[in-house]
This record gives sequence, C-alpha cells and structure tokens, in this order.
Amino acid sequence: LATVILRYWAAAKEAAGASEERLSAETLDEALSAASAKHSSPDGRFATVLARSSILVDGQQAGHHAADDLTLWENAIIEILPPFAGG
Amino acid sequence: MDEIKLLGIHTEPLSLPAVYSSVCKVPSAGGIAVFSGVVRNEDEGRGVEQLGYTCHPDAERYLREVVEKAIGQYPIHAVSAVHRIGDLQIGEEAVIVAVACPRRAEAFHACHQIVDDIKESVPIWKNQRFSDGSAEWVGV
Repeated sequence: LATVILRYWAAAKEAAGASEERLSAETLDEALSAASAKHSSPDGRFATVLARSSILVDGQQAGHHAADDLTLWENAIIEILPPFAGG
Repeated sequence: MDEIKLLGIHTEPLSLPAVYSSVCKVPSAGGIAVFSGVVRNEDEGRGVEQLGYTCHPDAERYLREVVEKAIGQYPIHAVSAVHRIGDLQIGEEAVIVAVACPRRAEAFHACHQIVDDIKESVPIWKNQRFSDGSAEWVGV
C-alpha cells in the first residue's frame, strides 16, 4: 500500500469538505473508492462530482476511468478536477 | 512565441482597451477580432447575482497551450487572452480574447476557437450564486 495525497478542486473540494487528504491505497481505483466511501452522503454528491471529474496523478492526465488500475506510488498526488467552466 | 502579447489569469478587473491595444498597430494585420465574455444576470430562467471563479494553479499553462494551438492553425500576427478569477458582478468581463490576422475571416475563426478551447480545456471553475440565495457549480 502507498500513502497518497488526494487534492480536491472546486465542486469536489466542496463535496469533500476538504481541499486535501491522505489515504493508503494500492491502485487509483482503490484510492477513489476509498474517498467515495469516506465522503458518501444521502444525496451522493461526492460520487456524482467524482464521476464527472478528470483525474490527474502527479500532474499527468489519468483519464476519466481509463487508468483505474494504475498502481500508485508513495506520495503520489491524485487531483480531482470537476468539469471546467471558464469563460 | 512573439505573437502572444498578453496572456494570464488575473484577480483584478480586466481592461478591454488594454487587451485591444495589445494587438493593435501590427502593420501586417488587417482584421482584429475581440471577444469579451461578461457575467450575465440569468441562467436558464434563474436570476444570477454573482459568479465566483477559481482556477487550478496550472491554468495559465493550459491557457498558453490553447493560444499556441491556434497560432499553429491560423495566420495569427498578434493575440492576447486573459481570464479573470474571483467574485465577479453582473456585467464584469470574465474573459477577453483579441486576435489580429491579415484578414477578417481568420481573425473571427481563430478568436472563436480560442474562446471555445478555453471553456473546454483550461481548468477554471465557476460557482453561480442565484438571487434566491442558492448556489451551484456550473457544469457539474
């Protein structure tokens, strides 16, 4: 298991109630599932935001769910970016 | 790239004259297209009071990529693209893009593409605050 950092932005930060947290996980899928379980609520807000977010691992695009089985490394930074809405 | 005159994400109000001036007086450019996106007072029938914009720390790098991509596709002789973050009131500019090209068609097209690409690929988020006191994240 690696200790990783989850970093939440915008709607994800609001749904998680935190901008950052640490947890232990082996794969990206595990880390995101653990975060979902931790922040589950009756309205499923966190899961909804997460499903629509793009994921960066150490700044690299990990796709929506294309790289769920990505094996994580110690201190990897997983960023949760909700849909962009500039302009 | 020398064509890029102003590029950035700012907390202070944007200046349309400054952005326009930055792409003016390029002797080879005969068409300048300028777009400004401003905060509107309604969204799908609901009254909007304010928009709160935030961005990822790397947003400026993504903005630069959008502009560089357009430079690779159109004969752009000067271009500026600026975006505002923070709490914006109705009528304030959130984004301004100005493109100078030899002719008008390419200036319009390039400007249009840059604005669309900013919305699509620059990590900026918008929290819409309604007149009834509620708020929502646009796009989520």
